[in-house]
Amino acid sequence: MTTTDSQVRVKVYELEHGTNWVDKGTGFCTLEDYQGVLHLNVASEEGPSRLLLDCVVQRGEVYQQQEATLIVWTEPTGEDLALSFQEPEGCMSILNQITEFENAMNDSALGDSFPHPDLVLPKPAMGSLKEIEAAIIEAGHSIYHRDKLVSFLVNNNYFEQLRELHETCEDLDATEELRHIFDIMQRIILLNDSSVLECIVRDGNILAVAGMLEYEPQHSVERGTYRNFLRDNSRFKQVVPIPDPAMEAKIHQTFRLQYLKDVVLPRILDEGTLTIINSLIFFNHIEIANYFQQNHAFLKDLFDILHESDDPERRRNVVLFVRQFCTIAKNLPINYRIGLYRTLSQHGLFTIFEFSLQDEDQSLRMSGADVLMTVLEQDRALVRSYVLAQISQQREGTTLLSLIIQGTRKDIGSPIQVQCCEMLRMILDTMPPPSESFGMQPDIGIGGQADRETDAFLRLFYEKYAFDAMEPLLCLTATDIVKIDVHDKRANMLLFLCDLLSFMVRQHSYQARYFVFSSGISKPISNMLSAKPKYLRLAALRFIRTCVGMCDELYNKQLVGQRLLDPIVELFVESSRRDNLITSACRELFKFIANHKIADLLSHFVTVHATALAKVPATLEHLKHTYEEYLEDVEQEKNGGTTTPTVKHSGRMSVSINMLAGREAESATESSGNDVGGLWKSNATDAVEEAYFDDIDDDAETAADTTKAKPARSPILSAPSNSNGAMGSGGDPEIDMADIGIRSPLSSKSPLIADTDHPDRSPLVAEVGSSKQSPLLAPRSPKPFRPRNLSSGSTDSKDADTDSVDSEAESSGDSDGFHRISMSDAFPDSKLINRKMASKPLLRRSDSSIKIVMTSRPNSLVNGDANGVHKSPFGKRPHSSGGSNGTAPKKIGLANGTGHGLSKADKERPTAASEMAADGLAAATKLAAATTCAQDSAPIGLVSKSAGPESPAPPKKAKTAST
Amino acid sequence: MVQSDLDRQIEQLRRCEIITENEVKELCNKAREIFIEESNVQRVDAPVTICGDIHGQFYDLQELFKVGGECPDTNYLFMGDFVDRGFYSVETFLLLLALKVRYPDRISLLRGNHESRQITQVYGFYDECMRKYGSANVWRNCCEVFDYMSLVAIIDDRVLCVHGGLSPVINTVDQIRTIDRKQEVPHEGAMCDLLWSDPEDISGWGLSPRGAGYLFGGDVVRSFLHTNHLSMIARAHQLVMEGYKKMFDETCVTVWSAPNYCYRCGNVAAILEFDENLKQDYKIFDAAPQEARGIPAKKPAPDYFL
Repeated sequence: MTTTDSQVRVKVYELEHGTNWVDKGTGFCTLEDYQGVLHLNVASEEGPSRLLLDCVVQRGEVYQQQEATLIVWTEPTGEDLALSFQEPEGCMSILNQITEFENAMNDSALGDSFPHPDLVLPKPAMGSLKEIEAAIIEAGHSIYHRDKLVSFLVNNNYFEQLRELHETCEDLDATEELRHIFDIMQRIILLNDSSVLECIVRDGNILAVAGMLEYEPQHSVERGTYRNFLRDNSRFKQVVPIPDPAMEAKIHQTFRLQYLKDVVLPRILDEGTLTIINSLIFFNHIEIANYFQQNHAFLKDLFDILHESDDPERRRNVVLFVRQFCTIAKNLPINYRIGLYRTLSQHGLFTIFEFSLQDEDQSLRMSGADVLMTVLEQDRALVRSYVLAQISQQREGTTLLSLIIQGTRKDIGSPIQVQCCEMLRMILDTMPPPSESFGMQPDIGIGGQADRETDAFLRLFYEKYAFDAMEPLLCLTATDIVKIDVHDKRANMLLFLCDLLSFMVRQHSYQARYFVFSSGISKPISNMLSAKPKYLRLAALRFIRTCVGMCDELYNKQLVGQRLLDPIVELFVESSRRDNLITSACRELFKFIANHKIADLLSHFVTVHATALAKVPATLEHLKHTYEEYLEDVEQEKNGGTTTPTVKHSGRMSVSINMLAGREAESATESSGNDVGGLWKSNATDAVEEAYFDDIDDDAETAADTTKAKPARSPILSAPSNSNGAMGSGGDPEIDMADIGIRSPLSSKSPLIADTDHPDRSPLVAEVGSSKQSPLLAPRSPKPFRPRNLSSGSTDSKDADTDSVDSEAESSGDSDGFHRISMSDAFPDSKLINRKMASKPLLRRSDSSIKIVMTSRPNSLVNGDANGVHKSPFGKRPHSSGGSNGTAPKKIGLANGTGHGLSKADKERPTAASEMAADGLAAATKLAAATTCAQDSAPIGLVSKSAGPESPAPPKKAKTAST
Repeated sequence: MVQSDLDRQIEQLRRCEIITENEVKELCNKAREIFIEESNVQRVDAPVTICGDIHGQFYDLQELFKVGGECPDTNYLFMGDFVDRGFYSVETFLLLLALKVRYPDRISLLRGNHESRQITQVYGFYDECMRKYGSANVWRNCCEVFDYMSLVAIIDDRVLCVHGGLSPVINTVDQIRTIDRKQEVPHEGAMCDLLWSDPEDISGWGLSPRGAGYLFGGDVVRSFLHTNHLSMIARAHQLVMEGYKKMFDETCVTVWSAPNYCYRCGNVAAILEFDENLKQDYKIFDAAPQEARGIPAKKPAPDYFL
């Protein structure tokens, strides 16, 4: 049937080698309808039997009119074609016909009656398998045909038909055919379409499909393996019946997707399909989490079981349910998580800890601990306010905090003990974690109520719990220490406590300092300097280094007064012959003291320890020299008529290590901005402690007097009286901690803590997303590649100038003269399961001014194997129709021609195409902004250098810091 | 730990089978003792074979041993990045660690930038531990060991080996000795630079696009070598398609030991053998065929509520 009688004269062109339009001849253009399929034909004017062009008219605005007489389009096979019309009318006429036809198609498609005759797969039969596979491959070449195939598969119950054939083949042991069916199934899955995947995991299909996938040639499993696993319904546990069957179905489907992804398909999935599966799971999880979060009746029934049910199994399942709920919630974007834990806690989330943490069953204890860990990771403030409330409400009994503390010393070395240690550390970590510092959580963010609660919590902890928590360390006598050998289980707990104390000193400033002084804990720690396990010595050394690092006169006085540095000198002299980790740690300590000209300590070493240190002449000379310098400085300032230098007090002078600002330099700068000692001085609440220090000073000076004139239970007793026998003088363990009459000056506000060991712990952190969040992207929105500079360009542009930092920056197209130095801000000691990394990137310029800018980096791959941002470094723009030019079905999610293997461009630049970008520390922070650009993934290790730390999302905050 | 236990564990790990959580803990404790005794600048005697990044490509590590000789028959120095990206970070790192404990004088392990809590949480080692052991304890133990690993090695007082490269705050080798390395890899400073920097055809120092460490030029290398009476720097940290790359008149060489990196880069790998006289011999090897088979299946969840 001919749809038009008019003769339209055209010239046919084809694009060759991507550059040249080649004239294919002149003829007459017609549109022919063959059984509902419209063909665009051009018959040569030399002879109507010779067709210059015969192609199926595609749908979806493929045909572009250029000027009045030109139509340009791309065939599904990737050929670029053009028709040049002699008359504009002819051009219009053809275009109108195409549009009409398309409209007609759409109408009939809406009625769902259109048969898609060109994409009916043959009925499955042993003889038609080849044909089926060929048809699927063919359809995969174009989005249009692929969509048609997808709707055919979904609407025609094709999986059911395949299943029947599959059963027959299994009965016949037709290995060849079974493999073939596997291939077909694999191709269907790799069509990379979410509706196909959703169809597969439906009740009626999943077993059939799983069965077909059991015949993977390189990885065949025993017949029925997958099917039996999925058929086994007992895996699904219902603690409280789920009232909505659709929700229950969703849960099953999600489980199946997970199973397909992890067990059945990992060998055949490409990144695109993996992305689709991950996003399906992700969206299901959002729905599931939302459903239960809002279903208060369900939550009430759930937590009521803990109080009402006698069945331990049911109660146990409540814990496991909540654990899984938390695991799911952990990976959701923040706006879905907001309030989740608070909602759960209103219904009794915290009762599960009391129930589970004390249970006999270790696995249940672990599950409870897992949940608590998750809550701590997400919302530490919630846990702290619960602890506060719990203690104000009940005077007696075990509290959550004491449960955790007990856990740190029960079953030492067991997983649960390790968890408890971690939980204690997290609960005491008052730096806002990334998730809490994000502005979207007004009620638990930094500032306001949360701050007050944190203060109250710390007050409570140091008043009532710190002594308990540190008890094993406090009780440690010199004799105990000697007995501890390398394999002693206690050693690891002591290591933990010692590091925890260092952590507290850094974070909690005056509260921790007060605790350190009043508890006399420095003494047993300095005993540890002579412990057999060297890691204990190192831990003790770190504690002392932390105290020194506070640059706080009071700590220094204590170190000197209690002769805590004596064993360090001993240790250093002893290990200086060996050059091991202890030697390095000691040398670092001395270097720090010298660099910071800490007068108290310098004078102590060069006077008291000169003889001992003479064995390490270089170090002694260095200290002496620095001390002399310091004295000269003081002298000069006096002569110059200036006021007393502050050096004496804070023990610090300006540091010049290198213009490029080493870590120490930065920490020194930070410290000076937050002069802990100064704040302390101004507190005026420290009379008791002042007196205490006066005593210590006396102590050190008049060693002989120490035994008299001290209040019987004063912590002063723990102070060693002289340099020799001090360590062994066992006065301290007898101190009754509860009886120490000094109370800490807790009323003042916590000063900003200069965290000298972790200068990176700036509160300048922003939550930026996690790897799991990347599937947030709509699964099918093809974004072939990202624009070069993203939005960051706009933010930086005001600072941009033309001085380029180095050639790399320019060659990579990042010509704004900046390198963003992103630094992930995960806590160095933290074992956060929470993988959200916040970044505190620096913008460095060649003029060495440093700016701190909040940027975030996108997570590029959903499967956790994150790489650099793909900036399409290879120039060639992928085919706009979604990268369907290859033979294999291509990815939509990652639609990008360069997404696989090595492009030529890479091979030409071996080292340059290094893991650089893929690997940047910046990349650690790339978990950022997943929501905006997760699809811009690049092949692993193949990103050009430039793709590293660039293209951050718009800075969230900016702050200028001086070098 | 009884020697025979250790030998059994090594055998098991050589078959790419994991050892138990408790065994990991014990192994890590043992390794910690050994690492503590090592200097930040580990002295190594030639002959020795030096290796670059491995990245959890277990079967390729076996290829490496086939090409270079088994441990302890050959002395090895690994320059870090044992974990992440590959499918078998756990087996790879534990095998190397077990060999270290078994033959402490035959094999040296330096720390790479991936031997870090932060990085492993992003690039796969953490997830792998969770998947293979069901808890983060093995990961924790390994990270604890990372903190104790040495930073730099010097072969026969002539060749400096380090994962990344030089640091602008370090002029002499002795300055490296004053780093307290028992810490998470910091974001800046000497220790960070040693693990993150890269050589580049520039003069002096440049800012690294990685976001950590620096780029250093040939003049920097020359002056560092001169100051410290060294003849060359061997380092890893960057993928090289040919397995190794010499720069700056052969004063700096990059050695890369992960063939077909990430199972798709198509590169070959290399190891560098120094004989008694420090004569260099590069050996190139290809990826093991098994690795190409892709991601191993994970264990399905035993039950589910949601």
